[in-house]
Amino acid sequence: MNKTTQIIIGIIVAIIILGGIWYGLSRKSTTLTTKEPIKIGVMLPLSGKNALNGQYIQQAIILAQEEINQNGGINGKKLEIIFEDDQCDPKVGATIAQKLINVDKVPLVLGPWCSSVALAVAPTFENSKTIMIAEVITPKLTTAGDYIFRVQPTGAFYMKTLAEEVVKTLGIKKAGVMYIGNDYGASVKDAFVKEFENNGGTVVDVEQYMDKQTDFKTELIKISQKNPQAILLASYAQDAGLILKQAKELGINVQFLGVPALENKDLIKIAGEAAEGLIYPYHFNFENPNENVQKFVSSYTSKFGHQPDGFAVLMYDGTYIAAKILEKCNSDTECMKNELYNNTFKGVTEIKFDSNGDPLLPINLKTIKNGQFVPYEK
Amino acid sequence: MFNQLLINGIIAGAIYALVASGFSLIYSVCKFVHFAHGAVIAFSSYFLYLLFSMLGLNFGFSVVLSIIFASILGFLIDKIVYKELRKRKASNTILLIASVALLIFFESLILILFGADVKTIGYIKISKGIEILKAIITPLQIVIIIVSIILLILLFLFMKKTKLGKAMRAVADNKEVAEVVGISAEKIYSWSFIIGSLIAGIAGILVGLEQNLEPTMGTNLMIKGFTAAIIGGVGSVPGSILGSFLLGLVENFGIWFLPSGYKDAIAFIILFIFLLFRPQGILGIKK
Repeated sequence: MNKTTQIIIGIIVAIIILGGIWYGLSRKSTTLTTKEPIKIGVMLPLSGKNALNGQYIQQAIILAQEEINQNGGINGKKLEIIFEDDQCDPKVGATIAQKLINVDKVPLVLGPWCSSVALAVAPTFENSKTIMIAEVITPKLTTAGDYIFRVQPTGAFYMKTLAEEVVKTLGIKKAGVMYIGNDYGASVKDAFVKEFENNGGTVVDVEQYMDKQTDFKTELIKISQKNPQAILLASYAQDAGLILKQAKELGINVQFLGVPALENKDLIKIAGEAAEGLIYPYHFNFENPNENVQKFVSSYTSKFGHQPDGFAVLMYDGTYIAAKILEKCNSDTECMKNELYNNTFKGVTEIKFDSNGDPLLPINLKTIKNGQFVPYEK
Repeated sequence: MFNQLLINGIIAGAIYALVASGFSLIYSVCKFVHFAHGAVIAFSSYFLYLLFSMLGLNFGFSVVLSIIFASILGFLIDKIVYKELRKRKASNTILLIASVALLIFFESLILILFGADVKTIGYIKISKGIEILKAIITPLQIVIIIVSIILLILLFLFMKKTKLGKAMRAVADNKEVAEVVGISAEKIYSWSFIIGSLIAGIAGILVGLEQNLEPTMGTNLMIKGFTAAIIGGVGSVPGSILGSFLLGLVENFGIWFLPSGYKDAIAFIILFIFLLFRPQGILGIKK
């Protein structure tokens, strides 16, 4: 490399550095002339296996953010959202949590969506008195702290409604359970067994299966030998689809019960007609004629070109809840915490937090009819 | 009830056998563990999905094309990757690592091309199976069992009676001596990949019809297929098929008495017992 090239490269580097500094300064000065925006953080899986779930929720948050800013923002300030990709990985989540607290200094975080990430970051947020509004099902988050909230009910909460309704309206007294051998499956199974027996039912058999398993025939035969009137599947949509298919092939004719995660197109794709009649508890009904519900569904669908799912709905409300408490408390998280415990938030759904920060949402039974997820009617 | 468990075990065993036989054939000739065999199976399932479910071609035609495709894919894997490595005097460990890399590569490729969501071929309508001797079995499951038994017989005859089969056994037994008498080892390696991957193609189609298509299905199938091949004697094709049926039966009878969460534990305890007391497997020859 001769001297001229070195000088030219030196000049280019200097210009880039100066340009960068100028750009950084000019950005800051323009934002300072108006009112400084209010920043909140979001942690979602935006890449990897769960990216699609994260994407739907992100879209719901963006929709809420745009609506809030169009209607004058929060006390005249714009709502700014910092999206972070936790990849559903607790290690990545922990780094992001530190960044949001120490660098961005956000008073409030929406997400995570993955139970493992939520459990890993909850102590960090609790210690720094940062409000966390997660969207996870694991019951372990219930006792994570005073600043930890969630918009999705716990598995136990869903199972309470399901067990009650199954015993009272369907008259089912004997049930079996098949569950996936992980934290999620085991916690849902425990909740169902407890609630079902509290309501006077008997759990005749419990069968566990492993992640990635594709053959459930012997498990199904074993459980059907005990003559249950219903079988609960504490599963994901893919395994539940195969279980329903194989049950139909084996001629096992009992009422199948499910969990909210089964409201997923994969279930219908795999099980087809075998999925008909499955009963499961859910926190939302898209056909609800309520004005707020229909307004949300239509504006989401027209903006993003596809229907929202049940997770998107809850985080859309979560974003409005965040805006509402920020409006009242600015960045005083102590005040925000009290607001969350003491109010009922009406949005698309109606969320009231209990003393553990878990939402008390109305849960209704849904079923599958002609390949559609519809409200269950007795 | 005994009959139903027996049938369930045989169905599971037949699926393992479809995976294990092709894998074992390649191992016996080439003497290295070809994990990417699972990826060839997955690719043939996805190829059938592409031709039949997406492009709407005739089912029989799609099946034949998918099997040919799998065979070509296996041939190319050997030609482009393994042969080049062998030329550079790579050890079997290097080839094994390359095969794991290929498995991950192909799974990622499927993920990019087809997406992460579950696919179903949907050729067979879900309905109650046929009752035979108080046990219920679907027509597809009968086909899976018959195909794997036919494969067992055909592979056995192929290895014993045909010229190519004899040459394969010669190379498997002693590569140098086989080359001295005029058998090209490289050619035989290619043939073992072509035939092994052809079986993988058949496996991919039957498994794809019975279960669902997921990008990681190859790995999941390989775990049990590999276990079955070791139990049966990894250098022996008929042995690996017997090992598969043994594994399927033990798993299904085992969880009848033990809690069902122990299914995988049972499979791997069997593997340990064999590794400790009969490392050459059921039909393997002690060297």
